[in-house]
Amino acid sequence: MYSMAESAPIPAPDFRETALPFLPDVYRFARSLTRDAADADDVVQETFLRALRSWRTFIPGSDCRRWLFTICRNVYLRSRERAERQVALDDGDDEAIAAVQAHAGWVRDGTDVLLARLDLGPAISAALDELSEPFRSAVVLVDLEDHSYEEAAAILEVPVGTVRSRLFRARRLLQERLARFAQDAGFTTSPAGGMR
Amino acid sequence: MTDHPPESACHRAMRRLFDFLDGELADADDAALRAHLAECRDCLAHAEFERTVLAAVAAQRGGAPLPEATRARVMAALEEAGLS
Repeated sequence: MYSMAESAPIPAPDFRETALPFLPDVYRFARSLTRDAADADDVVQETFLRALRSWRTFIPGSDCRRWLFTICRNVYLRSRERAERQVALDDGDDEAIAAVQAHAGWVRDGTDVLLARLDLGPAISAALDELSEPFRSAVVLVDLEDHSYEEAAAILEVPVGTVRSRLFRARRLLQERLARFAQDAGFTTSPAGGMR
Repeated sequence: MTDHPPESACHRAMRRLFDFLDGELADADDAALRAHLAECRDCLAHAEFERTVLAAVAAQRGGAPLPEATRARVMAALEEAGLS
């Protein structure tokens, strides 16, 4: 025979105590996705309203931050009315090789030396601004929010291989823009590869 | 890298470079890639470059702090929606 205490359902976690502490994290994620303060405000508000409405579906003890990030990204995508969630991409390995080959070219023309001399912060910020979905989400989750591929895949609701493909292509795009930044920063390289 | 045939040890190593830098490789693969980098100057140079770029991207972490006005706006919307 069970006592009342043994048969009582597990109480639902408190929304204020469980979800609201992640408000700063979700805001930062939304800002990274939208690159706009006003848009981020809208996305964050809608994220938490949806979370509150579906709070009964949240599994006690599971990763609330990840759950909120998934909602946030879905809100963001819907706000942009983008249908890019299932973009088919080439194998991630190809992207990794392409990035290496691009770097080999920069070594030949001296661009890698320029990059090493520059403060890359502003260039990277600008390059992130230019990244489109779904590449931006991959970079934000793995490179800025420090999620593993598996965690990012859970948030994005795609296979791990898709995260790799998007991430590696995003990095290649970032590097291409960094190279352009270096060349626009007042440096030129000689046809033979040396700086002048 | 470019001086080697497509399926060289360098090619195989560079296909796994991002996984390596992200700490996503299994122990045995991680050790094999480290061993390759220890003996291949070209691949080590590529790896160091990629590591530098990734570190510069990671330096962007932290992002924008949550404005008080945004927090207040969200809380007001949640309370209006029934948050007790």
